[in-house]
Order: sequence, then structure tokens, then C-alpha cells
Amino acid sequence: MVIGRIKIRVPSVIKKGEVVPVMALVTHPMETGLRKTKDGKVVPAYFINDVDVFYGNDRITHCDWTYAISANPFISFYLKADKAAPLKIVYKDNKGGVYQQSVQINPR
Amino acid sequence: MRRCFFLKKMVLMLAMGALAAGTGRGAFAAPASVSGIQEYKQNISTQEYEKRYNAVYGKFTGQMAEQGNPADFMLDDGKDLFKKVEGTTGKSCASCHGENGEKLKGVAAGYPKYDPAIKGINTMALQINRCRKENMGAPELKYESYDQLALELYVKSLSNGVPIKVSIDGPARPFYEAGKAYYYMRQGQLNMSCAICHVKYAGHMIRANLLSNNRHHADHWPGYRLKWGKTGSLQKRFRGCNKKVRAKPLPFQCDTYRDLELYLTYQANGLPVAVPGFRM
Amino acid sequence: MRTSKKTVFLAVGLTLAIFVLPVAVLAGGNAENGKKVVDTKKLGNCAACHVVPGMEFPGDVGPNLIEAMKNYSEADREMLRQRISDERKFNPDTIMPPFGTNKILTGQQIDDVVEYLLSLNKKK
Repeated sequence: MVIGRIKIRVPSVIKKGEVVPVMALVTHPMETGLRKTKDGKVVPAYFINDVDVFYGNDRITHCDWTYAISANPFISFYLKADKAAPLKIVYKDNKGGVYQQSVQINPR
Repeated sequence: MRRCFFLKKMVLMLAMGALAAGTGRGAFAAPASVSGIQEYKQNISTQEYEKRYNAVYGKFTGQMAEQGNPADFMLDDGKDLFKKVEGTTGKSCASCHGENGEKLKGVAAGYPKYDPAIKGINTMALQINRCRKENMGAPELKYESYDQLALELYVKSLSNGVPIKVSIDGPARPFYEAGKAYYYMRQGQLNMSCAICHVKYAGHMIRANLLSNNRHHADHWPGYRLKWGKTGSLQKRFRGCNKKVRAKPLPFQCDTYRDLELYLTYQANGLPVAVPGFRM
Repeated sequence: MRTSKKTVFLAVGLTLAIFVLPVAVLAGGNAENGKKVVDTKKLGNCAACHVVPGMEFPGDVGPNLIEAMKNYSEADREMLRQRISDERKFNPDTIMPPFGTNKILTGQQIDDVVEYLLSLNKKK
């Protein structure tokens, strides 16, 4: 499985000023660091700990995540679509990986 | 295509079941079917079951399957695999079945079904591998590998929304009965059958988990399961269930599991195909 | 000689009655170990189906053991033992695993569980 594939879902037709749901999914194993393999070795922690959402140049949401989030995390939030700008979601994990994707929001 | 030795056990179990019925021990149970298996009746009513199911899961699984299903990534990969040219004949799946699989729409709703060529039940996973081998000259995909699941997922998703219509008439009948016999067979150290939990005690809780009714068991696979943290097939779930009652799990796509898949899919007849599924 | 033989028998009988029988009764088991067996997932895992004291999210497939045990007394010890060992003797179509027959628990562990279950009744 490829780590860090992102899928962002926004409604296809958005009216200006409308509050729309945004859903985002990312593939990540989210290892807690507490799990052991069958030989008793601890699987090192590997999880996304920092999520930023940018709309245009503004950071509109920030999440501090811990190992308690499940594998392949899914976030969903509402956005007031009042300008035509890219919506960018940036995930950072504890081993320095940065995964990002953006979708263009064009309210009519 | 391995003939599982469990069939022998099943025959034994059938005989024992007939014996038990003869001595009048099962007088309290529901009427016996043609094969002599005593069918269970659900302890609680269907309305009560729906109420309990909604109280535990609500719309969560349905919403997640549509909106936040990690199996969607696999679906995209499956689409690419469908168009990928492989094998000695220089074909891809798309060369015969249409660029976007138009000709396969609704086909998965009829699977699993009896196939005279293999004298047994043909599942979608098996059919894809057979098609790859016979028509494409490509190597068979290993069951439960990423590529195999992706391709199966994509082909099944072409039938999304089409009601499941599995036939058990004619030559498929003995295989259906064999699947049912396995479903009702007591096995493992815990001495449980699939049916006692998922028919008789469906709607009850085992610890914090709800025992589900077998009506909805076969319509959404391959699907993503939160417990696994990845996408798997119905037969992977069978193996998990076998291990839970401390029985020996069988190999993927063996005869018994294919019969069982037929039995379970028949229970889901009439429900729309909804892959990829999402379950806890 | 006859009388002495009789006395010997009597003596032996009495000794048995005094020393062996109470031991047999006392060998019933240890309630504390029984609780451990009941609560351990890999052993009894009773809370999967029964309501047992101190376990969260109990199942409701089997009877509520806290309530059900009010109907059982010391006289039912052997019956309880058999029920845990192999419930199929009482109800051939049961879902309860045969803990004794299929060697999920040892005989001693079953004794411990029975002791623990009977102790539930004594507390109240």
C-alpha cells in the first residue's frame, strides 16, 4: 500500500457563500508504537501528528493528532465557500513525511 | 479447486443430524429442510433486530462506505489494472469487456453460480483468475493479494445498485446444500456453528459486539474493515470466524468456502450490490 | 476374631468418614482463582455471553449469572459442574461451549469456577 495517498471530496457544484462539507481521506498505517509483532519486537510508532488545512493563503484548520487515530484516517469539516481559491490539506507524520493535495474551489 | 476433506465431516454431520431428528431430540426446533438440517429460527423479531442494529451501528457504516471508505483507493487501482495489458495474447480486461467495463454491468450480481466447466461453484475471484489464464494468458493472481482484491473490487463495483440474483436451481442445488451443511456444522474447540450465532442469536450481544443477521453478510465484499485496517474479501472473513471458534481455517477459494459463499449470497438475494463495503 | 474384623472395618470406615470425605468436599476449588478464569478472555471469557460481576459490556446470549445464581445452592454443585463441563447433556442444541469435554478448562479450573459462582450467592 502506498502511504500518503489523499482523496478530498467537495460538492461538484458550490454556490458562493454556501457552507459545504469537505471530506478527506489519507492512507497511512498509523502505528501506535504499542503493538508487537509475533516475535515480540515492538513496531515503532509511525503516525500523522499534524494536519493543516489552508484555504487560499489562510490556515483555516489545524489538528494535533496522536497515535489514537485509526489507520487510514478520515476527516470531515464544513467550509464557507466565499472565494475562489485552492483548498490544501497538509499531513505531516512523526518520521518527517509530508503529504499534501489541493482542490480548486470555484463558487458560482 | 482443492477438494477439502471437510466434506467428509459434513456427510458425517448430516448423518448425525438425521439420527438426532429420528430420536426426537430436536422436537423443539424448526421443521427440518430437504437435506435433513434443522433450521434455526431467529430468537427475536426482525423489527427488534433492526432496532438493535441501528442502536449499535446507526448509519455510520453506510455513510462511511459512501464518503470515507479507504477502499476507494483500491478501487482506483483496480480500474487501472482493468485496462492494463498483460499476458501472452496482448489483451487487457478492457479489450473484451468494454473500455470502462460496460459489458460487465450487473454480471457480479449473479455470482457465485454453478459452472459446468469446473463442476462446481464459480465465484467472481475464481472467474477473474480463470479468465486471465484462459483468455489473456496472464498469470493467476494470488488470492487476497492487493492486485487480486483491486481487480475483483472494480469488477464487482460495476454492478453496484443491481439487485443480487443468485440461482440455486438445477445443478447448483447440491452445492447450496453443502454450503448450508457447513453453515450448520458445529466446529472448533468452542463447538459453535455459523448458524447458531448468526441465525438463532442474531441481534444479541457478545460482549460489546452485536451478532448480525446473515441477510446482509454477502452483499458488500470486498470491503474495508476497521478491525483489519485494510480491505479484505468475504473468505478472509470466513477464516477469521473459523479462527474465533478455534477451528482450522480453510484455504481461500476451496470448495467448501465457495459453497458457503453461494449459501450466504443466496440469503442476500434482492439486496443491491454495494461494494466496497465498510464494516467495523 | 469376628468382632475385631468388624471393628477394623468400622475403624477404617470412620477414618474415611472423618478424614477423606471432608477433603473431597473441600477440594471443590478456590473462588479467587475461579474469578480469574471467568474474567480471562482466553480461558472462561464468560462475560462474552453472561452478565458476571465486575465486567463491563457483558453479552446477553446466556442467562444473567448474578440473577440466575440466586436459584442455585450448595446442593447443585455437581449439576453446575456438569453444566460448565458439557451443557449438551442438559440442552443438546446449546450454544455454550463444552469447556470440560473440549479441554478448554481443566477440571480444577472448572471446580474453581463453580466455587466462585456459588460464592456469588453467599455474599447477598
